[in-house]
Amino acid sequence: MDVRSWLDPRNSFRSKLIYALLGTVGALVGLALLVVRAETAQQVRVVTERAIQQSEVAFAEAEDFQRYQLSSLATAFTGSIRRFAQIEAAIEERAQAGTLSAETDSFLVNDVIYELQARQIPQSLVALTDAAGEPFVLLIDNDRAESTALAARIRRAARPALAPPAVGADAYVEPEHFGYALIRDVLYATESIPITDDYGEVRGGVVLALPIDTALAGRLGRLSGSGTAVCFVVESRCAVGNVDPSSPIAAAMVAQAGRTDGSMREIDDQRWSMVSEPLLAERPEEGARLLAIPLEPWLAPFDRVTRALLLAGVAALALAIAVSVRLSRGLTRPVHALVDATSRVAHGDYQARVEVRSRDEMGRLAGAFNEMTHGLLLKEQYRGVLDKVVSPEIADELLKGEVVLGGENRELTTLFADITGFTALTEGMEPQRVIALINECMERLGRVVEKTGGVVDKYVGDQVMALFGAPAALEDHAARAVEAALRMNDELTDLNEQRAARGEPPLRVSTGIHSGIVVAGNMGSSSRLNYTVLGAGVNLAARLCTLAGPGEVLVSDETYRTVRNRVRATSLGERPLKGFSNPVQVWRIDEQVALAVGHSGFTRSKRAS
Amino acid sequence: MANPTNVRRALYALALLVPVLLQPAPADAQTGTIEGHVHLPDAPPRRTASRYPGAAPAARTVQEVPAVAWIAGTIGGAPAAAPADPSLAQSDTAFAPSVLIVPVGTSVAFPNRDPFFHNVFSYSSAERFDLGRYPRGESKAVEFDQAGVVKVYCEVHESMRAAVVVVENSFHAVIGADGRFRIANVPPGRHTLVVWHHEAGAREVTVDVRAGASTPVQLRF
Repeated sequence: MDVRSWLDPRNSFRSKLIYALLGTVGALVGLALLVVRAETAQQVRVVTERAIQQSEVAFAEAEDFQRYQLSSLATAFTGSIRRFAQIEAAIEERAQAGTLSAETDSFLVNDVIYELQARQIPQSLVALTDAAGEPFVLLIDNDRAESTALAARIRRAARPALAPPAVGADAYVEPEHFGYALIRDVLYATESIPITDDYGEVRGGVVLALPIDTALAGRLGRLSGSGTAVCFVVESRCAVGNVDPSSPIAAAMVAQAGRTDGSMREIDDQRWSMVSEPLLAERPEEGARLLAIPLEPWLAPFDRVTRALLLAGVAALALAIAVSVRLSRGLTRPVHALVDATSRVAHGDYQARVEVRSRDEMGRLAGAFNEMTHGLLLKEQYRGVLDKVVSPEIADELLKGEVVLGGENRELTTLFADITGFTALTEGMEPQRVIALINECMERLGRVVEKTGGVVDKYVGDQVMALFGAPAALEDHAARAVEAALRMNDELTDLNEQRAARGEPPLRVSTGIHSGIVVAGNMGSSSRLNYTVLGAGVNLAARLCTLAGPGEVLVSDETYRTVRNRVRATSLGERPLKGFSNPVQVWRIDEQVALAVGHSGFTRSKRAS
Repeated sequence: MANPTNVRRALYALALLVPVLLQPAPADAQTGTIEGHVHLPDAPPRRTASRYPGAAPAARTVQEVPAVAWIAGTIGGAPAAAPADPSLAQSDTAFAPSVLIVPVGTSVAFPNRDPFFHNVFSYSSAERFDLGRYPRGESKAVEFDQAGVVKVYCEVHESMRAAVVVVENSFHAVIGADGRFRIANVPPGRHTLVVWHHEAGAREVTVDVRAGASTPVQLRF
C-alpha cells in the first residue's frame, strides 16, 4: 500500500484516526498560539502606552523646567531697558549707515557678554534681532557667531514670537515663544521674546536658547522605563539622545520620526516599540521626540510560552500519531484476525479462533466470534455424532432444536431384522472380531434401510430396528419396509460371498415387519432422549422377527394387505405370539413383484430361498 | 530711512514732505526765518513699557520727549553757543529737561536729585556711555563730541526718556505740542533741516532760506 492510499482517510481507519487527532491537536495548538499572539500584541500596547504616558509626564516636567528656566533667564535678560536701547541703537545705525560698524558690533557683543555674565546666565545661545528676526548679534557660549545659515535658523526661531497677532482674531493669542532649533548640531530649547517700543510696537527680538543635553534625554529614558532609548530627532537626525546617534536604534528612530503607524521594529534581534511625539504640538514639523521602548523583557515570557506551545504541539502531534497508530493497530489487527478467521470458517474450518487480548469492544467481538465458531464446531461435531447414532433426519430435527418431548400417533411400519444364530456364531470368538462382524453386517443393513427411505431406530446387539414413516411420513412405508427386508437378504448374500471367500460361515437374517399406528416421539429426559416408537405394533414386529426363520421375512396381516399387490406371499396362518392374547395372522413374503412407489435404485429382486 | 516694518511704520513712510514757496521777506534783511509746522504722528497713549510679555505693567507712563528741529552741519560764521552749565538732571523719576540741545564738544552734567539710584546710559552711536549707579547729590559728566541725537535712558527706571541733541550750529528749535516751530536769524542759503521725533526718527528737509524772508516748512510724519 503506497503512502498516498495509506493517507487516504477512505482507505483506513488508521488514517481517519490520525487525521482526527492531528486536526484536534493542530486546532488546539493553533488556537493557543492565536491567543498568545493576541495577548502579546496587547502586552506591547500596554507597555508602549505606559511608556508613552511616563515619557509624556517626564517630558512635560523636563520641558516645563526648561521653559521655566529659559523664561526666567529671558525675563531677567530682556527685562532691562538696555535690550531695547541696544536694538534701537543698532536699528538706527543700520538705517543710517546700512550696516553696523565694527565698533558698534564689537561694543554690542561685549555689552551682551557682560550682561550675560553679570546676570549669571549659563552657557547659551543669545541673539538680538530686528523685528524681522534678523540677528544683529549672535552669541553662542559667549562667542560671537556669524553665518547666513545660522541667521536663517535664528529667524525661524524668532519669528513666531515676533509675528503680530492675527488681524481680526477674536481673542489675543499669545504668540509662541518656545521652540526648538538645531544650531551647529546642538539642539536648543529656544525662547524668543519680542522687544517693543513705547507704543507697544515690536522693534526687535531676543532669542535665548539653552542646549538640550544628553542628561535630559537620559532622564527621559529613565523615567520612561528602564532601557528606553530617547532621541530628539530634528532635521532627520538624532540631535540629542541617550543612545549613540550612529547606532542602528538611533537610525531606526530617525526613520520612525513623525510616523504614527505600526511601531514595532526589530533591531539587532531586539524588538522595540517606537513612539514618535512632536516636540511642539503646534509645529510637528519642527522635530520629534522618539522613544524606543525595549520589548524583550516583556515579550520574553510570551516567547517562552510560544516555544513551549510549539514544542508541546509537536510532541502532541507525535503522540497523536503514535497513539493513533497504536489504537488503529489495536483495532485493525483484531479486525484482520476476525476477517481471516471468518473466511476460514466460511471455508469450513470451525477450528478458527481469534486471540482475545483486550477487553474492549473488539475483545468482546472476538470473544463472541470465538463462541460462535466454538458453537459451530460443537454443532458440527454433534452433527457428526448424531449422524452416526441416529438417522440424518432425526439428527436434522434434533439440531434444528425442534425436538420436543412427547409423541404422536403415527401410522408407520416397524422392521426388526436379526442375525440368525448370532450367539452360536460368535461363541468363542474374540470380542473385537464380534464387533467387527456386527459392524460389517449392520453397516450393510443400515445402508439398505437408509436407501429404502427408512430410519434405523436402534441397533440392539445383533438386531436392527428400523422405522418407515417416521419421523418423516412416508406414503408407502409398508412397501418400503418389505423391500428393505428383501434387500437385506440380497445384501447378506453378497456379504456371504465375501465371507465364503474368507472361509467364514454365511450370515442369515430373519425379519419381522408390522404396519400400524404407534406412538412416535422423543422419549426420555430433557437432557437425554431418544426418538423412538412405542406400541403393540412394535412388539408385534419384534415377535414376528423372533418367529421368522433364517432368511425369512414375516409380515403381519396389516402389512400384507397394504403390499399384497406387489408381492407374492404365503400365509402361515394364525399364530399365537407371546404378549398377544389372540393369534396373529402371519404372512411370509416370497417375492416382490412390484417396486415400492417412488423408489428406484434396486433391481428387481427375487426372494432368495 | 528705515524700512517700514508694520502698519504704523508704513503710515510714517507716507510722511509728506512739503517745501513751501517763498514768503514775504522778514524785517531783518540779512537773515531769514524758518517757520515750520510738523504734523506729529497720531501716537496712541504711550503705554507703560513692558519688556517682557505678561510682566506686570509699571505704574508710570513713559516720559514724553518733544520733537526737535535743527539745521544740520556747520554754518560759517555762526558757531553754536553753549548754554551755561548744561545739565540733564534726574529728578522725580524723570529727566529734566527731557531734551537738551548742546553744541558739539559740550560736557553735560547728569546730577541725581532723586533719593534713589539712577543708572543713566546711552547706546546711541553719537555717544555711548554708561554712568553707572550713583546716589542723590552726585553727578557725572559726559562730553558730547559728535553731532547727532543721543537717546538717554535710565536702566533702573524704564519710563525715563531723554535726548541730547548735539548740534554744530545754533539754529534749532524745540517743536511745540502743536507741531509748530520757528528758527530765526538763519543765514540765507540752502540748508538741510532735520526734524527729529523720539519715536518716529529723523527727517531731513532741504530748505532755501532767503534773507529777509520766512521760509515755511511743512512736514508730516
